[in-house]
Amino acid sequence: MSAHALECERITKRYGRIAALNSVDVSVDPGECVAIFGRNGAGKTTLLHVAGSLIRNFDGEVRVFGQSRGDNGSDARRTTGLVLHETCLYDDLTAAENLRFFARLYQVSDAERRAGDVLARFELADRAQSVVRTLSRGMKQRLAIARAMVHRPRLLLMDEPFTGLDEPSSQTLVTVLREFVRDGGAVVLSTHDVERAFDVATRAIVLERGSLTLDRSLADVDAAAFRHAYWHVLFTGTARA
Amino acid sequence: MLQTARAVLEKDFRIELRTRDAISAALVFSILVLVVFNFALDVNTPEMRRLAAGFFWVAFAFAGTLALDRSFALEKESGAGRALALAPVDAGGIYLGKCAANAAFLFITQLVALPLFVIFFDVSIQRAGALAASFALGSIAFAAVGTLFSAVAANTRMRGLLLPILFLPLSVPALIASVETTSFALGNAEGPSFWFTLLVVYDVVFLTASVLVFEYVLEES
Ligand SMILES: Nc1ncnc2c1ncn2[C@@H]1O[C@H](COP(=O)(O)OP(=O)(O)O)[C@@H](O)[C@H]1O
Ligand SMILES: [Mg+2]
Repeated sequence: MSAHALECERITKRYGRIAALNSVDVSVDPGECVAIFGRNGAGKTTLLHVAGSLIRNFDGEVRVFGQSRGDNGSDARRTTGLVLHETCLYDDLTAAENLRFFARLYQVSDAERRAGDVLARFELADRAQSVVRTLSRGMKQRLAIARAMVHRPRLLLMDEPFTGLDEPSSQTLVTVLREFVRDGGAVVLSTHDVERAFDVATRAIVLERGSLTLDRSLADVDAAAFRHAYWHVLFTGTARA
Repeated sequence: MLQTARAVLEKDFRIELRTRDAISAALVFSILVLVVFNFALDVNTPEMRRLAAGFFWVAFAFAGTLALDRSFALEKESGAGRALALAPVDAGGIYLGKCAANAAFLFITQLVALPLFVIFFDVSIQRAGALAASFALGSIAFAAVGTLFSAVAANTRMRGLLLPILFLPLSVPALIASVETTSFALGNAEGPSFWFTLLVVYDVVFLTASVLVFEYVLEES
């Protein structure tokens, strides 16, 4: 029945007395790129972790392409790519070794070639043989994104993916994500950069102390108008019509 | 499952070849303990020679926890283990791969420490085949229990303390059997078949049980 790439229903996650997420409902369709905004501690990371099943102990329901996360389904795992605050890379393996290892785990048939392709896509081909420990922060971030995409996921969950990237690399990521979305992929990313989000996102949501306070398409607003709405939510706690 | 195990095993070997962290930590520690035993006790008596296998395995049990701790530290370091746990693979395969790598590192550590042991304790190897079997089965036993519990301990704040607390008591039967079989190989004990059987059974039971429960160990929060 559902063609949603990601469906989160009444997600509540408590840490002691703090509700990091408070009955959050959000669904994302193929071809959408949703930017999550919100102040530090608003629950962006928690939402991405719940959606990516890094957190399993929560109330509510998460489905990926119709499959419940609760089923522990390997289809949902196979279709999801994750970029976290951590790089999720082995620091003592080279860039290429990391990608080949994860490609193998996901049973990518042309693992070698695919690893080479994503390295090239993120302009890391010349550092393929470098041990990750020796890469710069921005290079590690690019490699982390390449790792998240090496198995050709259809849903990308990215926690502040632009962090540490220089201007050309950010542009590359924007281009890659646009292509990804155009080809029917779905993206959820958290960011603090309204302009950057406008380059790539089709929709924006705002989280505030664990609650969803704004959810709007970006098709018919410009960055200035959205920024205005965003700030309005942050300072008054209510969305304007 | 075996494909996953192989991928994980190769990855750990590659990292160990590059850093030599696990083996060197375990080796330095076991050599230190052997040296301390050597100075603290008068080892050149017939009684001591009969107890030598025990000293060797005790040194090795503690050294092994260092290697095991390192094995899971590298999964934690930059969150790579999280990505590994989320991959659409059988958790049992991940366990087998880590366990095989750990067993191999422990076995290599023992082989390298062996000459020093022989010199310090003035023992002679009477049955090389039995010694190899004792080392191999003992390493597998330690790796089987240790890999399971370092994964359990990895998600807690007291990883360094919790691992030995969980792991050492449970490995006592394997430790006794390893000591007895090594003693036999050194010509200091007889009737090894019971102890070899115990080691094999212990290995099979712990490997099987761990493969089955590892899925739940990987699920955190
Ligand atoms: N492991 C945890 N234990 C306790 N509280 C946590 C934990 N993780 C997050 N929180 C709390 O949940 C809230 C949301 O955090 P987070 O999702 O990381 O925010 P964001 O990513 O939007 O900055 C914060 O109040 C944070 O302190
Ligand atoms: Mg965050």
